[in-house]
Amino acid sequence: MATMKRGSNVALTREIPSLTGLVLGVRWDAGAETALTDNLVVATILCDEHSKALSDEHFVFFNQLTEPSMTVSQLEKAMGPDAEQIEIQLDAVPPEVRRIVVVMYLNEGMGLRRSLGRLRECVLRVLNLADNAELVRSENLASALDGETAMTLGEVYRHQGDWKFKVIGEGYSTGIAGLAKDYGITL
Amino acid sequence: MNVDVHAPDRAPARADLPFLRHRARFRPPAAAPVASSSRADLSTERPAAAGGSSSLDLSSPGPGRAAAAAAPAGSSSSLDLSSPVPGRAPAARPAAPAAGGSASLDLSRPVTPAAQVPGAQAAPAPPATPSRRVARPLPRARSGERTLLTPKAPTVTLNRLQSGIGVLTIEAACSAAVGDLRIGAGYELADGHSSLVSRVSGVATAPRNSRRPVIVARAEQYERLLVDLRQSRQLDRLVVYGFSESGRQLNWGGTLVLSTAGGARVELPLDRPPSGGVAVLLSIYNVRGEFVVRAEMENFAGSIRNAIQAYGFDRISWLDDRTPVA
Repeated sequence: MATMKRGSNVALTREIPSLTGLVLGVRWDAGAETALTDNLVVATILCDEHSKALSDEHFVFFNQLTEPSMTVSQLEKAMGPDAEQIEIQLDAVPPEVRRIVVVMYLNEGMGLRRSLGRLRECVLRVLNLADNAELVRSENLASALDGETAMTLGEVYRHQGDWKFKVIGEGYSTGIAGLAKDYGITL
Repeated sequence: MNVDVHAPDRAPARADLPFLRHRARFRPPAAAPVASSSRADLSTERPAAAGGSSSLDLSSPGPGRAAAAAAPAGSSSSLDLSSPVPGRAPAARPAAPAAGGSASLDLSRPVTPAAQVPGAQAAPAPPATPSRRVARPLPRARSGERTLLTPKAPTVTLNRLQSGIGVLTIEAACSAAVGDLRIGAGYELADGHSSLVSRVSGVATAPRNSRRPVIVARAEQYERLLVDLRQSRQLDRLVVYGFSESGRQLNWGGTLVLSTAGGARVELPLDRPPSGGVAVLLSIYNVRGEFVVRAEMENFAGSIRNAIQAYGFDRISWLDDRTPVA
């Protein structure tokens, strides 16, 4: 299994022409810090060519488990060792969707100030939807974090007729508000 | 939820039904036929002994089979009983009402009434009646804006982002002139648990003594209830009430303010005649992930217990008229 560094990408459908669906799995480890993991949220944003969300309905997370085309869905209960999983029917994704970005944020406001810097490990991995075989995984994205409260983990995007996957691992110190601003989502 | 029963194809997506997630919405057959490999298209004429096919193929002619009557093509359903079987007597079966052959219930297309049954008059297609859409636009909370709840417009709906990100704050912004107003709420969780959350009743968290409460009652400048929206799926409903701690009459005034992480504000003016007892101010119902907020503004002469029971909380055991048992 291949480990990918931040910024690196792989041409998924060119390498595996039979690939029609993906599972994106996010796994984390915060030790005993349950106050941190309880409030972690994984979300998937379906974007246009300018990396802006197509609409607020294209923000897939625990309270909106799928989007209008129902090709990108978050599982209520992840299967296997991941904390969260997102299934993507690659061959049915509408053409206006250019990028599918996986993000993570801390849901704040109840008074417990935490940051993603407390995470020991955070890995995004890509599985084949057909057989659950792991294709690639990111390096440990937690090692570069400090006071951040949100992070773009990676993205699946169209490139010259193929779908590629890229590890991003960029943190935000402004939490979901910063993410929402960058991706054009109205909170 | 602007649901038009005449046009299910335009119905909003059900994001709360994950088991539907791999099913494509039915599309009218005007589009090019989709060659979906994952779905068995049984309308093609092929022998039942197709190698490796585990799907039930009822369209191929088999001995002793009754014939299907209506026979439109273009079916993409998983079980298609409507394929034509040449040379079969159509009288063997009543006319199958399977126009379109879609397994999903599709009310949007007019059913051709047994047009292919011999002897039956080919009825003309019903004229396309303009659907009478009476659905009013649902009032929506807008981020960064203020929505005023009034007797004529008592409800507003938060979308799934507003109902699922950050914290929902409910605050009784009232001056001392009102009196010793305290607020609390009856709540019901998705697991069936229901109780009260109110500082004055000694239960400042919901559930009581929870390490990770869904709702917290606090007093800062004003009395407040905070809903942890990371756990919004756990909350079924919330009924907010106000009362005087000392049991005196309240000279109502001020505003109940509900605010979201994105800055949507819902304001309910507490302009009422002076009253004692308990006033149920506002309710929030979780409808498929969206919080529907409604001004209630109903007075109860009796206790908190009476008011909360009137809202259907019949599974709370009480210590006294304002305190649930632990």
